[in-house]
Amino acid sequence: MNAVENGDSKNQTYNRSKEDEISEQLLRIPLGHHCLVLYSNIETMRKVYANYVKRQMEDQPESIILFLPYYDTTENMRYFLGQKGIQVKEYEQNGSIIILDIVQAIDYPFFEVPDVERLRELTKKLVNQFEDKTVCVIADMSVFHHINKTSHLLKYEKNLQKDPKVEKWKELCLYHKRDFESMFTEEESNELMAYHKDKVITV
Amino acid sequence: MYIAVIDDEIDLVYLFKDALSQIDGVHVFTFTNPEVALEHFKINHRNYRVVVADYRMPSMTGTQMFERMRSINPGVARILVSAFEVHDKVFSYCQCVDKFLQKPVSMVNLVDEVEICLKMQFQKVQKVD
Repeated sequence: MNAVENGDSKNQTYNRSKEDEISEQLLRIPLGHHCLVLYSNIETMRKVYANYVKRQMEDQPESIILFLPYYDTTENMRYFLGQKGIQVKEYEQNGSIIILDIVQAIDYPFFEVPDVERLRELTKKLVNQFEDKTVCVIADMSVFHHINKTSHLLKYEKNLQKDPKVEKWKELCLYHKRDFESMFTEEESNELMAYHKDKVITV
Repeated sequence: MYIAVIDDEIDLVYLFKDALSQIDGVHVFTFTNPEVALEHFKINHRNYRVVVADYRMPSMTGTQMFERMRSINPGVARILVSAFEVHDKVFSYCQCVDKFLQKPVSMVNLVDEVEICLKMQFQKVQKVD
């Protein structure tokens, strides 16, 4: 299995409390909301999402988590979640956790909408399919920079909270801070921050 | 097996990824920022086999990034790509570059070179075993 290198123990203690705090923040985000999560470090983000998924599954077992990683393979993701004591295989089998490479999700040809909108279509499909469940989407949006679709992404990000059919799901859009800075101009970045207001979480 | 492609030209990153993804058993990670690439390499270096990077990038050159990668894991093959009109001998003093490809790079050539690197690494591992 893939190796994961750890920092020193002091750093781990610091990260542990930070992970809890951020997971708590993410859990408190109400359904129907969309949130920007800007992370400065891939390794810290791994710890945060593993912690968040564990808490979400414990606190809201009726929910579905759709996880769309970019800087981790789906295999890696299962490993990290497993390390946190999450029964990934079991959750995947009963449909509570869906882990899909974001590149595959946006390449899915059966939704006749542009790449970024496919995320929305995928979420809607899940919401409609499992009417008694809520859906939490965790998507690493850095991919859109690398496939040169930043302008589409910008429109998508600025229209999310206007969708009236969002009450059964929430979306956490992850961005590596350095990617975020490269993807958007200062003006666009300020616009996005203003649009999302208190729904911007920095990790 | 991981392969990294690092270039600040987004179109090229996309093209390279598309071409290299045809190789069986590899996962291609792309980066437009060398700092993010280094960060990813540091925490995943045992899974990496080949890194392909442009020479001229913001914040550091391809060779500077390769030097740092080499100090983390010297076993990973490093292929430098550059538009400069230079012969690969210019980079021969630099131990951090295993191969040099001049832009424009044909995708067939890129895939061939990466496959050669993968084969050589596989042979090395077999010898050690």
